Amino acid sequence: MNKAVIVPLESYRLAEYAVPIVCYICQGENLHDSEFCRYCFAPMALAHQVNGQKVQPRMVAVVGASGVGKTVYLGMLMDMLSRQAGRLQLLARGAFSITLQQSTLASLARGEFPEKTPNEPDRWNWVHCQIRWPRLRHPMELIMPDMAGEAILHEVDHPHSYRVIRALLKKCEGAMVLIDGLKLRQGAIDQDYFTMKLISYLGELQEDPKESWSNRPVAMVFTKADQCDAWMADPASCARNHAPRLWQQCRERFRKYRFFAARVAGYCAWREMPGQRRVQVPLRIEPHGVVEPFEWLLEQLV
Amino acid sequence: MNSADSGGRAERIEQAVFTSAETDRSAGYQVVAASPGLNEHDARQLALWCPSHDALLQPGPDASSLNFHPLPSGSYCVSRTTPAGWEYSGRGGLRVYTQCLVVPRPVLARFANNPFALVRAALSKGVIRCYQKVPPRLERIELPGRAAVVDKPLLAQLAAQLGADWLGALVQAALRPGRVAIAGGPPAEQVIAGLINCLPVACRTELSFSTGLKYSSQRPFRVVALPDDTEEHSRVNQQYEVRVLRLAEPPPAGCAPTDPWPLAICRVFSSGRISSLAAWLNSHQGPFAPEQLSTLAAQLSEELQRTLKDAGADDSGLPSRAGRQQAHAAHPRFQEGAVRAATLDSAPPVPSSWLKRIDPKVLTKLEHLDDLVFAAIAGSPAAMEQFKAVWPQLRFELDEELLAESREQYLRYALAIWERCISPDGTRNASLAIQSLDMLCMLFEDA
Repeated sequence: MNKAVIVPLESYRLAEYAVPIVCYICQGENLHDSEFCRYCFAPMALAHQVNGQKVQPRMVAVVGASGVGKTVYLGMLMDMLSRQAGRLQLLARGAFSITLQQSTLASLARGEFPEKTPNEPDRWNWVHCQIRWPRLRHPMELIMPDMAGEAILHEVDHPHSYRVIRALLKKCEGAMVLIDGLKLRQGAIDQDYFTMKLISYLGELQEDPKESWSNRPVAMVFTKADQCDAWMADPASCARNHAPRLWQQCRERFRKYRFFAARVAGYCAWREMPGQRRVQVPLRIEPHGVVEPFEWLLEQLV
Repeated sequence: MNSADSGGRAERIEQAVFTSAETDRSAGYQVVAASPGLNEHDARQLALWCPSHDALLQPGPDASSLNFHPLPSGSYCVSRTTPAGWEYSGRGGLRVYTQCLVVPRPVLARFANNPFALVRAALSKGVIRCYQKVPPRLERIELPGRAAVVDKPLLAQLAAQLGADWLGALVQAALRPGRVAIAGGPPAEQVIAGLINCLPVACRTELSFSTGLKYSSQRPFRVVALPDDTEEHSRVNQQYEVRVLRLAEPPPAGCAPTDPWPLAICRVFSSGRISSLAAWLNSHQGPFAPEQLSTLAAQLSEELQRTLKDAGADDSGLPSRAGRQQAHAAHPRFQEGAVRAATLDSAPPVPSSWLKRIDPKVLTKLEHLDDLVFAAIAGSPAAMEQFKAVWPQLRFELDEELLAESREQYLRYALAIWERCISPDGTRNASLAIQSLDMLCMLFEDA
């Protein structure tokens, strides 16, 4: 005996797949339920959030070599800005935007620095936030990814190898370039060269002179300034003395740039663990100069 | 340049190490050292494919992954990823260390296009190792030797663990377009190695894979392993259109083999004719167009049918007891009508011996011996006792040549068991090792 059953034809589901969702970073077309862009591996949550609002988010890049402190800086910046009311305030948009802040602060609370950011773009943390500031008439939507330094260097050395980095840097309206102040003071030249390469890469990125990076604001931030007070006092002079090539490049390539120094840890020490390599531990958390570069950048963007 | 030079170069394996370190060029994950002949394009690809921090599926210092993918130069990268101490920068976490072998086509062909066989040879030669301080320049590697087309003990073990249906489904998923993830069941390394063994030699290089890396879109491996976590399975399946095969469960209806080659493989395993598959694959190593796979499958099926018929199988396709071959297939040369697999790693047999018919009584004794030895190596005390009782008599009765071949197969089986008996915490089962050693001592006594 045949039994009659009712099977709903949910054809609207097919219609959803017929309309592509455009990745906000690389403009690649994706399915409506993709978690990451199939071309650049940026989270598609950004595109979904952008689609639901009138104001297009602006993007700021936080770049620097591996181990320079991008994750700690961004995590701490978010934490500081999300606490203060009235002045410059940050509101995370979407749960994924809080992961970076959460993991960074959890590590620091345990007396550790966060682990390395993996090279794979689909494992990076992205921050989509709303900035509220008395100087802004309307809240500003901002996107900032925490990219791996190795991936940035690979893209700089071999352009087009990381589509997400190239697409992001093309769209960014400003950048914070982090440089390891401690290494520079110790005489290591790799930070100097890495930053010069990066500046050179940015200079070649846009063909249209109007859109070139020479017109975009760049904050050069010397990190780990806890171990060199002179950096905190006068970062521009220190840049001239310790990184003359970088200083010269900035003068020639950018119209809007400024040197800053920042620190998150008050002091660091090395902990010897049995059977393990030495692990660097922050002895106390005393953020200083973290907000200033960001605030300056916003001033330039307004 | 003379042809000998070019031939020698084609046989050399370049190598590179990708890990986290501080070098003159940069800090963090990078190709920290390479042999002088590594192509620049290949080096860039290695930097994109190789895993970075926290990329291993299993936590702890004993995790590892074997990876295989093509390179722009036409060579193949066979790499092994392991944790190697702690992250250099003092930020905590284990350093992920990948040694890449850039293998030219002719070298991989010598190893039957089987990356697992090549890695075994490289490990035994000591060329795959983890440097605490990587030298800035690595040497080229020459890897002599060759491998059998099919690792029969491995297939026998997989057939026992997964069954013919799953093996057919796996082969079908691997041969169809799209990516495949395996989860649960036997260790991923074993399953993927078995999968490679089920494919014609010419097809094997099409199957890029990793056995123990976390899934990432950055590394488009065709076959990957996933942790035993259903949420992760759903996520990977939905987000990346990866077909997830949960091997701990029965094969779903949609996975049943329907394509000619997977169907033929399914028949091979359901009839226990692994040796026939090995012999057939061994004699069909040449290149062929993808559309010819159906023809090859038909030929394999015909060959299998003929072998079963010769061995006295009934109409159901199941061979009679006398003609049935044990799954471990210790004695391929003694099946009626089956041409012995002229495996590359064995000396060429005397042609007349291929054709000689074996006495059914001797065959029964050999099968009985197989059963006892395999059960004893697997840890059965009763089988061990029975073996002790019958072995002196059998050793006296059986032909020396037969004994030598049996011993060789038992040794390989014991080694395979030993290699795969690592528990999740990285320790090996000592009692299993002792049992195996006891068996081997008895088998090789006076050999």
